Amino acid sequence: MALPSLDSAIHQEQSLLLQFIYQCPVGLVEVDNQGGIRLLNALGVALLMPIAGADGIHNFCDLLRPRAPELVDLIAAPSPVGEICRNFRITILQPKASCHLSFTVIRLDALTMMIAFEDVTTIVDAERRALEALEAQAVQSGRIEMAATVLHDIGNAVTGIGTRSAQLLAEPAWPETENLARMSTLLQSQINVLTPALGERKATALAGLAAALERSLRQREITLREHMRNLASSVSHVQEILTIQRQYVHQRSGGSRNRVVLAELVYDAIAIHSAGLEKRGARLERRLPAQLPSLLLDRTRIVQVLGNLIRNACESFDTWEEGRLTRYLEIVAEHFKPGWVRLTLTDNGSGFPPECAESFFEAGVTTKPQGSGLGLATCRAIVESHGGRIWMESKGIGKGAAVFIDLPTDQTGDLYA
Amino acid sequence: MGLDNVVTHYNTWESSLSGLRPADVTGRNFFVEVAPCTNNYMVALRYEAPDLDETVDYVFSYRLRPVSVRLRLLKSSAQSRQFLLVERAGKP
Repeated sequence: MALPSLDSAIHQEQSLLLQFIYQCPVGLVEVDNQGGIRLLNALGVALLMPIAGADGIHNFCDLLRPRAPELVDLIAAPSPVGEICRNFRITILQPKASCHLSFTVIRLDALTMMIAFEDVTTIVDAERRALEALEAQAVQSGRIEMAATVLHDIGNAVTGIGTRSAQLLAEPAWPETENLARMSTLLQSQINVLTPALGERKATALAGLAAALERSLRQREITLREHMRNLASSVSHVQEILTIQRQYVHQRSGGSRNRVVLAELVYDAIAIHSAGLEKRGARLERRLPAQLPSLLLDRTRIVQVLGNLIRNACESFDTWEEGRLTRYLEIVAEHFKPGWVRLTLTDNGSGFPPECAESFFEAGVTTKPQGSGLGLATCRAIVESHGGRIWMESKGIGKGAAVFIDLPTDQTGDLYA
Repeated sequence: MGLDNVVTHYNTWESSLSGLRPADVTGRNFFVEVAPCTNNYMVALRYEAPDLDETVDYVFSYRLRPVSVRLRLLKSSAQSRQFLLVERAGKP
């Protein structure tokens, strides 16, 4: 006969064991071969009740057949003792939000299976976000690779163009022009000999024709030379852009910060977008004093930001009528208070309603028909990661706009660039 | 329970069904510690409303066995106590 104290000790242990299983942070269910539920713990109820609704939870297979027939088939099929499936995920679409459950099924003996499951919704969401981030990064990497290749190939082709255009410019004056000049002089001087042969009218005409030909050819040569000079200048401009862009691409899209002279970055950004400014006939004014403190900046990123702002200014000119006022873009840098440098870009383009000023910096906002470039949200992120501030002001539509960027000089506050 | 979900009274009948002694239950958070099977939007989250009078068909796992029950959820903004009444449903 067992002692009462032993009985109660065993009973207590059993209670504790039941509690242990009951409180397990994983849903636990014991089922028979038809899916009838013999045992289930608290989390099992909590996770399955939302699926069950009014019918209650009595048969696991009946409960999940409409949602996950594949899982039910696995359970219903005959199987040896051991693991039937592990971390089998299903998605439950609920009125509020879909949730994801992960099931592990083990056969304990010929008549019994144990099913362990948990809610993995947060894990699935995190996995999806990580995948998206990875894909975005891969796309970005791909773009950089492509940019590097394109720059390289174009660079080579442009070198060829540059050489040929230099050759053209270096061509000596056309000997034909000189010969024609001589012929014209000769005819002119021999006009008395020609007159009896051809008659006065024809002789004069001949001499005149030669002179006219010579003038016209000379003029054509001058015009052609001028075109070639313009061509050479365009080619050189393209080469300049390629050089600048190659620098930035090879820096592997930024990261490192160096002491830079802000004026240099402004010049680089302007050089890259000068065609856009020219196309709109915009006048560019710069006030970049030489004694600005040098700043600790990520060159690539800041040039991207500046370029984006210049392009925005150019595009604001497009939505404003031609020839209203001379279009201008003014870029001013000043050491406006100790520890801070302020860069201001002012244009007299389309402007915007003052109350919208902040909304441009929200992610996903664009007023452009084809969104391109960095986006102001990213520009702000970059400026703020340097400890700076960026904001825009405008007095209204048609009154132009100004972008202000404040950047801190570093702690030691170097005074001279 | 108090409005903080801590059990203040646990009657003997429920105790005999669940096998839990009142002493073990009072003073604990009902939805988290005593009956975590009710810790979802169907039961526990309902008590966030100021007034509550709902009947919910549910399943409790007394001693790990599924038991169909009918729950009555009661709460009044005029009182400082809230109630959960449990009735065993006819089905096994």
